[in-house]
Amino acid sequence: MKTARLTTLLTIFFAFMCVLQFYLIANNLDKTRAQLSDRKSAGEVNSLIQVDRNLDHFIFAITEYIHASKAGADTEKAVSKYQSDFDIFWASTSIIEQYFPENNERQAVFIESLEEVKEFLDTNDPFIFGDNPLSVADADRIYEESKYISDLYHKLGLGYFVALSEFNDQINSSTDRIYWAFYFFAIMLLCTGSFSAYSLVMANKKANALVVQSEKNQQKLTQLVNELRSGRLENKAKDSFIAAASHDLRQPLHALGLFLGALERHVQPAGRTVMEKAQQSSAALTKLLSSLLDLSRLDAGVVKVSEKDFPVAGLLSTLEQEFQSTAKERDMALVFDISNDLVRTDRILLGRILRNLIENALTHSKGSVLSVSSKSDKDSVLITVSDNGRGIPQSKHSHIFSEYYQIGNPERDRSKGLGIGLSIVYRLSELLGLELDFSSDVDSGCTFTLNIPLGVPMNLTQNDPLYNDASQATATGQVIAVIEDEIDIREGMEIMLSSKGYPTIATESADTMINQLLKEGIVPDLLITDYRLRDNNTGDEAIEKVFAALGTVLPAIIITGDTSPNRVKEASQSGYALLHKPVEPADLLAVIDDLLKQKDQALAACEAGAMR
Amino acid sequence: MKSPFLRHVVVAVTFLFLTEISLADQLPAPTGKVVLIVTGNIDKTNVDDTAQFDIEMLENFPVTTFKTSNDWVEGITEFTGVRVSELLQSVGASSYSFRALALDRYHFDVSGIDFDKIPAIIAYKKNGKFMRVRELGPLWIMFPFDEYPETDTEQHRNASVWQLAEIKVK
Repeated sequence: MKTARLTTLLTIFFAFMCVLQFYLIANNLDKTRAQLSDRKSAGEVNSLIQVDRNLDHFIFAITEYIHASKAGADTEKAVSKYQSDFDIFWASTSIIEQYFPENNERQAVFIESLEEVKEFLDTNDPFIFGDNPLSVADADRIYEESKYISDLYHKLGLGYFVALSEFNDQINSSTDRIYWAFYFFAIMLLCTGSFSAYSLVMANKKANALVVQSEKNQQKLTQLVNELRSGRLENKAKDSFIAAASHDLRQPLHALGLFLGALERHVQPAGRTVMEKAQQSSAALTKLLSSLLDLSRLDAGVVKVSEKDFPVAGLLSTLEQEFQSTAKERDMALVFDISNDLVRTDRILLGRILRNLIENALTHSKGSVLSVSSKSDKDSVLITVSDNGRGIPQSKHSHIFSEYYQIGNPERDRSKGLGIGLSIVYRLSELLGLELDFSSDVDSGCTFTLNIPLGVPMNLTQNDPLYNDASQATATGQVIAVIEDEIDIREGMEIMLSSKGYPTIATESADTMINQLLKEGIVPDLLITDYRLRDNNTGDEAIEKVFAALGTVLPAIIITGDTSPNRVKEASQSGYALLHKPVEPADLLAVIDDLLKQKDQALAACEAGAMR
Repeated sequence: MKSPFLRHVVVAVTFLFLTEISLADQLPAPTGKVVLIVTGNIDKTNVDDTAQFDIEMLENFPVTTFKTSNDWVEGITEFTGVRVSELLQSVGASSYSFRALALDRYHFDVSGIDFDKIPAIIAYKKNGKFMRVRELGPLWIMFPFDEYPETDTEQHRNASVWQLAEIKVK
């Protein structure tokens, strides 16, 4: 835009300069022409020469006459000669009067001289044309006067010579000016021309760029329109809405889970069924939110992959137990065919993939058998999840991995989930670099096959804490400090952790926690904090504060309710164990157990080192 | 024409007729003071090889009068005289190219001017009066500058010879 304006301005400027130059040239030409046409110099000089010559002839005639009369010869011829020459001189003098010079100074001299000439003519006219020829004395006098007049004319001639020179100089200088103006004009024209050509080329380039840009834009627009048609745009909006909404849902749900966990002990046998239902509902709700959170975490790219070698059998049998009851509810036979292979991948994330696949089959397939099998194939392990349900028509294969897409749920029954399971599966398998195959057709069920690299036996880690039954954990009387600004959750955590045998100190901020700990002289074994605390404090800041006050470093857990990708990233950068609200009590206990065990091991190692 | 007599008569009559014509065509000799001498390539003469004119002879030509301004006399002046074309034709000039000579020994070679088209005159009267030598007379070639703007050139101005004394036809 700017360059375009500049170009226009420059072009206008050049055009203006051209016009100016043109005007200057025309003006100078006019002036010169006027000067030339006004010029009488050539004529004047010619007339002066004529006059001088005529005067010379007259003087000569007078001289001849004087000689003749002195010699006493016949003077008649000489008389008519000087008479004629006198007249001719008179006439040429009258012509000279026409040529008054323009210069005032010279004009004065000119007029003065002419006056003298006229006086000469008038005085001598009677003598020249007298009845008698001139007397010798008169002739001598006239001769002398004529000489004087001749001098006058010579002076005038000199004046003309000077004037003519000046005039010529003027003409030359104005001719020079015309040349300069002309050259400048030519250069200006050249500049304007080349500049215009340059602008034209640039404009052409720009136009080309614009065409390319507009093609790109068109493509983008087409893409957007397609997205709009396929509902992806809507889903994006949904995503951000859900991320926001789930944060608000998370807090009370988190508290609810904790309260229910604490309540479990105190419920009478008569109320167990209702209690279980309540817990199931809470769990289902947590699961829904978790899957939403999973999606946003995947979006944020903060899911860390920790690859380990582990027997696939352990994971699969856990899953078998986990889904047995659900399968029964759905009238489906759950068949597991487990091989004894080791795989190398992230156990937690693989578990999540398989859970989603199994859940999906149980909820949507409407088949009678769901089989999960694993078998080795060269240097990889294939885990297959297949059902014999109604299947998915070929035309919809491309849609099943997109978010919120449910084939058989146009009424959008939320008890059937949100339709994000498979999309999580797809993203996780991409994240883990696992090959995910899918085959299905109408009434022939669906088959999902995961291709996982074969593990190496040496790297085997046993007793993965997360997937050991956390509820089995035994309390060791280790003290847990909880910083949580929301009173419901703080109390729920306190009750839940206490009920599991951990003495718990819960406060609303780092400062109150430090006060209490110092007052009672307790050093806790583990610190749990919410990520977002009052007064814009973050969890990791609180942890650092407590550590600084106690002068020691403890294992710590940060629990965050944020699903917005940026916040999740921020929280996960702190380097402490990170859990996302709502946290199932079992998960929380598992992490606590794990961290405490690690601490014990480190302590033991330290002690061993100290003993040595 | 078989008779030799008749033939003689015819020849004689023809000769006589021709002679008469040529006699009638001869320029009359000037009687007054000669003011203009035409020399050069001309058919008709009166004194030796020249055609000489006095004022009276010039006045016998058809009179042409016009008013014009010029570079040498202030204001508009009326000039009376003989058309250059008529004068030159009267002496049987071969062309309108001639040298005009003046009393003050000025001369100018006139050529390329169409005197049939431009009624330039050899003026002998200015504002109805004969001109003295000191008034640029007695004869002055004058162009109708005002009526014929194409005559406003250096060439025409130079051809406006005053104190005209002689015309040498080329």
